[in-house]
This record gives sequence, structure tokens and C-alpha cells, in this order.
Amino acid sequence: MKKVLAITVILAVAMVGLAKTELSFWYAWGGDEGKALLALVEEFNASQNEIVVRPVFVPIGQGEKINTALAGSSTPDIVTIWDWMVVPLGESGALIPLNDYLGSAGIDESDYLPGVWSYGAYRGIKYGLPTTLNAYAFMWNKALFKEVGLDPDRPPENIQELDRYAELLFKQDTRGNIRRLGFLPNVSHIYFYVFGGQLWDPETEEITANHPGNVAALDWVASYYKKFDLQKIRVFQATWGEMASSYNPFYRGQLAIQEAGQWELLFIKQFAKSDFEYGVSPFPAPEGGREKVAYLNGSFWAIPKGSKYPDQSFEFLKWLTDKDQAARFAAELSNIPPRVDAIDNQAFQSKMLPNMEIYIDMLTNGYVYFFPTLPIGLYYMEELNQALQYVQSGAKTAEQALNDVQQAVIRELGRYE
Amino acid sequence: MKKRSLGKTWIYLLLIAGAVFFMIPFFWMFSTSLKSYDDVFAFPPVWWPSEVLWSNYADLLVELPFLRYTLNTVIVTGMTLLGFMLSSSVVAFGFSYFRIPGKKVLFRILLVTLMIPPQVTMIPQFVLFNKLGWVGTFLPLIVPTFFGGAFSIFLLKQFFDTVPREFSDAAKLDGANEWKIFLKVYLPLSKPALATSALFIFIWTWTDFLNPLIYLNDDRMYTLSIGLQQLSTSRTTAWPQLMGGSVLMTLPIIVLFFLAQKTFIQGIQVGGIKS
Amino acid sequence: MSKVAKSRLREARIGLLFLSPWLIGLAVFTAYPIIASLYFSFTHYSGLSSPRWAGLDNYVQLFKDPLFWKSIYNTLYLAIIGIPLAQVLSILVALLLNTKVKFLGIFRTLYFLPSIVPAVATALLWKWFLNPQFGPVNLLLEKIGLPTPGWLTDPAWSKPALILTSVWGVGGAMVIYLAGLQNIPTELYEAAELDGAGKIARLFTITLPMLSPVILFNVVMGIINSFQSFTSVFIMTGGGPENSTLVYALSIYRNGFQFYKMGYASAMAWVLLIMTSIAIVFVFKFFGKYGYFGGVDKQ
Repeated sequence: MKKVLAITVILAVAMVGLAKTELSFWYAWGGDEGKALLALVEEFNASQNEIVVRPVFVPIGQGEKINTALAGSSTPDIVTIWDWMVVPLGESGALIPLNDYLGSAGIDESDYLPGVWSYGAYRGIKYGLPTTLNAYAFMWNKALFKEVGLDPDRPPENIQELDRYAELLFKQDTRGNIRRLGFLPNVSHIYFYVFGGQLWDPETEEITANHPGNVAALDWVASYYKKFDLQKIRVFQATWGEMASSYNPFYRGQLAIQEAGQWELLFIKQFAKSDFEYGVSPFPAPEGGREKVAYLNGSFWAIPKGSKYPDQSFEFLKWLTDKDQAARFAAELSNIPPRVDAIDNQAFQSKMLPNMEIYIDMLTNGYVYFFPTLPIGLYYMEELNQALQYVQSGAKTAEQALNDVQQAVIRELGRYE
Repeated sequence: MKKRSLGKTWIYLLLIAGAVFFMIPFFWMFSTSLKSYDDVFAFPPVWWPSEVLWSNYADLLVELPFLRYTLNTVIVTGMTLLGFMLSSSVVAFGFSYFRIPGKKVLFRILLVTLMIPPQVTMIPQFVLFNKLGWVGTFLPLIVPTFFGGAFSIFLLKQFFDTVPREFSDAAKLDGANEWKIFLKVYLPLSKPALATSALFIFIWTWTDFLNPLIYLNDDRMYTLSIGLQQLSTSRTTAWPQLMGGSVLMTLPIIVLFFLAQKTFIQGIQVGGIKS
Repeated sequence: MSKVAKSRLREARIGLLFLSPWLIGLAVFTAYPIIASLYFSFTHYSGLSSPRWAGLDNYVQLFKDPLFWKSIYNTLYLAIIGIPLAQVLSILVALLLNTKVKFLGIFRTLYFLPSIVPAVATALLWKWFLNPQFGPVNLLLEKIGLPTPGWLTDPAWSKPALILTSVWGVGGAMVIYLAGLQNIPTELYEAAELDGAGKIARLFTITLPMLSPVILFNVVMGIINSFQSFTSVFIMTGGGPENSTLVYALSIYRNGFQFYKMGYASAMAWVLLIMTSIAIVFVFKFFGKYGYFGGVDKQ
């Protein structure tokens, strides 16, 4: 009897020793993106005998699931989150800092595109690794340029020229309804940087909401909503279709010039008429402003504090973000891989859509920025939206509005430090 | 006689006009489920697709383990329905029938539990269930329902309040105790209210997204409403399939409603109780 | 102990027994999260880190926050116009669907249908319906010579637009009214008919008073829901334009889960609780005075 017991114990111990470590991995999207990721996970599982990654679909649209799970420390081993969630979760102590792991794996700043290393980090602590990147550029409809007598191959060179183009391309009917917008600044903080301003100082890590460049840019952005009448713009926008469809206002000719993420290249390929011609370039800048401003955003992979196997989890993340995998995943999504060696990788290069090289050039040789990843999530962004409304309606000057933002954001940040 | 039938005609006209009006949203959902992806966004919209794509439904069933999700949803909804109906009717009777010191205060507390927005209790609630070791199982979704739901308690209490006292007094004279009065007088008289309460519980649980999302950690246990989210990527949603899934998801609710409304036949007969 | 007191005691004991499932559930599952949220409202708390005591700071900030007042205004606007409108419409529909006609079950089902269609499914539909230039609503208004508002695009009209789309959702309250109509003893109508009361008189002397506990229920739930729901707003307008549809619950959600200000969100929740309580006490008082049954006050 005792012998049997002993053998059973030995067997059990041996089995545990042989058993693979199972990691639970919360991934965020279905459809083709989900399939591409699941294929990679399967490949990883087949590639070695130590770790089995078990993917669980967790939609992150609203974040309640992630927040409650991490607060209640009932966590997966790897989690997918939006960029704005990384630092709040990390600074709350819910994510494992990755600096040591990255250090011992020999991964450093030079492996990533310029500026990307500090993305999703706070005060030097890295809480996550970017999955893939989105970037924004300037895009125009060549046929409409021709229609109003502009050179279809030459984008505006500076802000004054852009303003002039926007007016030239603008069209309205006899009742004053807008029929075509030349241009409309949408993501206002892109122009903060274009005008030489910044949302924060990456050196000192201080908030700089009221930077003079930002003030000038906000005034300029607001001028568009005043010039073309905010209410009329909204009525016109109500006739715009879904971006990912053939009713997209850009290639339907309702919006002649736009700021657009690289995903638009894919949408144009899928949904625009085959003879649709468009140009892509960096944003035009005013005198003394910044050339080749590249705004990027995206999602992250991170390891929660509650992970039972952080070492193995990092092992998997290291594999997943390594050049081959990163290149293939980004190519599948028409996104940009965050790593330099992944961009050069054949898997990405061979699937690159036309004009993608302009985005890549902006990211590698331009001024790259992301919305500062702060412990207060989207608060700063929302305050800026408010500021634009105040300036548009004339309730505050741009300087007043941004001074107020500066104060509010510093106050909120102070509460968590 | 003639005047009466003319009145009826007007009622029918009104009913049909209303029916057309109220059918628009469901019809829209259904017609969207048969459109091609791009047709969904046509402006101005097309009411009925030029090419009807029943294949969207086939895609949906291939793409997602629909049967498994349905089964999970049935389990959660069935248990929830059982739990809420058993407990809420008992508690509602307690609130309606008895004189209890402090009942008013307790009833106010019941309403307060309805008034607190779930966003701020979500995290402590989760922490609690996590301490109990229930996260990742159906337990956090099911067990609390056996302790009564404030909505159904309140609803049923309002209906129990309208049951004339003569009925229970008569039963009392026949020697019935409180439990008997509850079972033999109140429940039979409140069939429409019970059906309504069950209907609402069913709808909320069947379509609930947030609670299953928060408490389930294994996609093999997911319910339909979470499962359908897999039709979205970070930038697009397969709208026709999503609408198809929603149509399929609402079918059981429609059937249940049809059954529930059958209890709404006519007013109660005061004299009829004793026979 | 007197006989009366004894039977009173017995009644209370049995009554508590009937209440016990809820009382136990309250103690085990509900009390802690509610009390915790009250505590969080006095702290700076991201939702994940350990809360730091902040005294009344959240409440002070709240009253200084222009968006707080804006969201209260928006929510009250939608509630004060939306709730009575919904009650009147759903009672009318319930009365209509309580007549003796053929295919009644099918009619009832069709009228109920919109309330189970998910908000995401109809968002595009309403945007089209209310499109300022090409939507059917404005085309109709134009034809009969009325001004054509900007609806969802115009801060002045976005709330009426939301109320307009909510008309399709009267089915939910209608079901409860239909159930309520079943509880009215038919003898009352027969007696009234003998007394020569007309249809309208019977509606006001019998139907509505007898329905009052159910009306009370729907009004109270209407208040609670209108202060808490934000899904349809979230999907249709996201709170815009210019925060004109930023409702209270949407604001709580943003603060709690997007700005990581869970302490602040909790403070908002408790201010909401106090406001809703006042509104509901007022409603109970009103029904206690004018209703046939006083609901909670009935003994």
C-alpha cells in the first residue's frame, strides 16, 4: 500500500515537472485581426515545449473588465490594453514594470522607432510593449485639386497655403449648405506640434498645455470652425458615411484634404473606386514650426501584477514582439510595427500598401510624438476638447483656455503622486 | 350597432398604423442583417437590399460557436430567472402584506440599492466575489439572484398592494396561514405581474453584456452578447453578421413576450375568488 | 403582553422571515460595495491603487466643475420632459392594446418589439431619420412649412432628438401598464356603467386611480433609469455636440473608467443618490396624497 502511494506521489511530481506552464492571454479583437494573432499564438505554442499560451477574447472597448480584474487581482498573465490605460494601471501598481526584463533580454531604445521607447512609460518605467502603431499624415484628393486648378502633385507648403487651398476647395449650395469642405483640422493636438508647441516636455516630463505654440495652433484650429460655421459643418458631417466603407467622405469627394491614419490606405484599396487618385505627405507647417510631425497611437501588451508566471509571460511577449512576428502581425493589420528591424523585415515590406513608405519615413526621420501617457488616462485629452469648444464659441481666448487646462491637469496629476 | 363597428374600424386603423410605426427598428435590424457590408452605410439608406444575403447568417454560425454561446446564455438566464422569481415574490409579499416595524426604512434601502449607479459598485463587488473565489464561474451571476432583485421586489410589491384585503381575510377565516395566503391568493391573482417580472428578468439577463464580461474569464463560458463582440476588429465591425446575431438573439424574447402577454386577458373577478 | 401586541409581534416575525432572503443578500452581497463606494467618495482613488483619504475634496471639486452642472441640467431636462411623456404614451398604448380585438397578441408583440432591439442596431437608423438635410422627419416638417431643426447636430435640439427616438421604446412601460390593467376588478366598471359613467369618466374615476401603484412604480423606475442609463446616448452622440447630451451617468463612467478618478465618480454617484432620493420621496408624497393607494404608505 505504501509503495503504491510512493509511486503515485513520484508520478504526480514527475507529471507536474513535465506539464507545460499555461499562460492566459487576453486578446482584444476578433475578425481578421483576431485570426492573425491566434495563428501567431499557435505557432508559438508549437515552437517550444515549456509554455502553452491560451488566448481568451476580451473586448477592451470600455475597459471595465480590465479595471475590475486588475483591481481584484484576478488577472490573466498577459493583457491587451489601449495606450491610455498603460500608465494609469502601471502607476496603480497593477502591472509589472518591464525594464529589468527588457534589460536582461538586451532590448533597448535603439531597437524601437525613435520616440517609441518612452511611449507607454512614465518616469522611465516601462509598463507595456506596443502591439502595433497607427500614425497620421496629410492626404489630399488629386482630382479635386485639378478641378479647382491646383497642381495635383503638390501639397500646400505651409499653413497659409493650406488655408488658401481650403477656401478654394470649399463648396456650398445656393441655400448655404456645405457641399464640400476643403480641409478641417480634426485632431487638434497634431497642430500643437506642427506649430512648434508640445503637450508635454519629454525631458522634464512636465505638462506644457499652454505652450505658445499650442496657443497659436488652437487659435488656428478654431478659426476653421468659425470661418466655415460650426453648425453648418456639423450638418454637413451628418451626411458623411462610415470611414471603412465606400461612403467615406474623403474618397467620395466631400472632404478634399484630410489628416488620416495609415489604415486609410487599406480602406482606399478596399472601398474606393479604382481610379481614385490621392497624395500623401507630412503636414505642412507654419514658419518656425515643426516639419514632419508624426502622431502615433495604438495598443499595448502588458503583464499584470497578478500573473502567476511573469517570466514565461515575458518570454512569450519577447517572441511576439520580435522582428519576424511583429512584422507579420503589423502587415496583417496594415499597421506599423514599432521596431526598426521589423519594418525592414521582408514579411512587412512585401505586404506594404502604396504610400506606406511616407508614413514610415515620417516615423523614422520626422518628429514623433504620442499623446502623453499619464496616470490620469484620457482626462488631459478631454480637457483639450473642452478648451477648443471654449475658443470656438468665444467664451475664452486660446491662452485662457489652455492656461485652465494646464492648471486642471497639474491638479489631477498631483492627486496621484 | 353601426356606431360600434365604426369605432372598431377606427381602432383597427390606429392599431395597424401604430404597428407599422413600431415595426421600423426591428425591420431595420433584420434588413441590415441581409445586406452586404457596404450597403449597410448607403446614404440615403436602402430599406431592403437589392441582393438578399442569407449567407450572412451562415457566416455567423461558421465564424462563432453560436450553439455553445446559446447554451451558456440559457444556463445563466434560466438560473437567474429561477432565482429572482422564487426570492423576489416571497420578499415582495413580505413587504406588501405584513406590518413590520421599520418596514418603511427597509423599503427605502431597497430603493437605494437601485439608485446607486453600478459603475461605482462594480469594483468592490468584484473584489468581494474574487475573495469568495467565484470569479471565472457562473456563480457571481447566479447566486445573488436567489436573494431577490430590487426591481422585481418593487414591481411585485406594487401589484400585491392592489390585491383587495377581503380576499386574504376570507382565506384567513378558512384557516389559511400566511404562506397559504401567499401561494393560494396572491400568486394566482398576480399572474400578469409575475409574467411581466419574469419577462424583464429574462430580457436583461439574456442580453446582459457587462456582468458576464466582468465575471467570466474563459471564452468557452461566454454568453451570446459577449460572443458577438468577436465580429469587431479594432477598426471595423461586421455589421450584417452582428445584426443577424442580434436578430437571432431577440427571437426567444419575442416568443416569451407572446406567451407572457397571454396572461393579460381581463380584469379579476372579486366574487370569483371563493369558488 | 396584550393579545394585540402578541399578534403584532408574531406578524412582524413572520414578515421578517419573508424578507429574510433579501436581508441576507443585502448583508452579504450588496451592503459592502455600496458602503465601499461611499468611502471611496472621500478619497483620491484611481480604481486600482489603494485609496488615499481626501476629505471633502471630491465634493468641493464637483461643485466647481462646469461639466457636473451641465450633466445635471441635461439629465433633468431629459427626465422632466421624457418621463411624463413616456407615461402618457405608454398608458395610451396599453389602453389601446387592452381592447377586445382580433390578433391582439400580435399587435402587442409588434408594439413591444422596439424595446428589445439593441441600441447599436438602431443608431444608424436614427441618424438617418433625424438627418437635418435629408432625413424623413425634416422633409416632412419642410413640406408642412415648419422650421427644420438640426436635431442631433445642434446643441439646442439634441435633447429633443433623444426624446423623440425614445418614443419607440414605450413598449417596456406599456407591458407593466398592461399587467396593471389586469388587476382592476371588473365589478368596478360594471358598477360604474350602471351608474351611467361614460368612458372618459371611468378612465379618471376607476382606471387611473386603480393603476396608480403601477404608475408610481413606472415613474420611480423612470427616474432611476433616466439618471443611470447612458448606452443610447453613448452610441448616438457620445455626449455631444458641445456636451449638450452629456448625461450624468456618462459623466460618472468617464471619470471612473477613462480618467481613473473613481473617487470622484463615487462622489458623483452619492450626489446622484441624494438627488434621486429627494425626487422619489417627492413622488411618493404626491402619490400618497392623490393616488388611490399610497404605495409605500399603505398599511
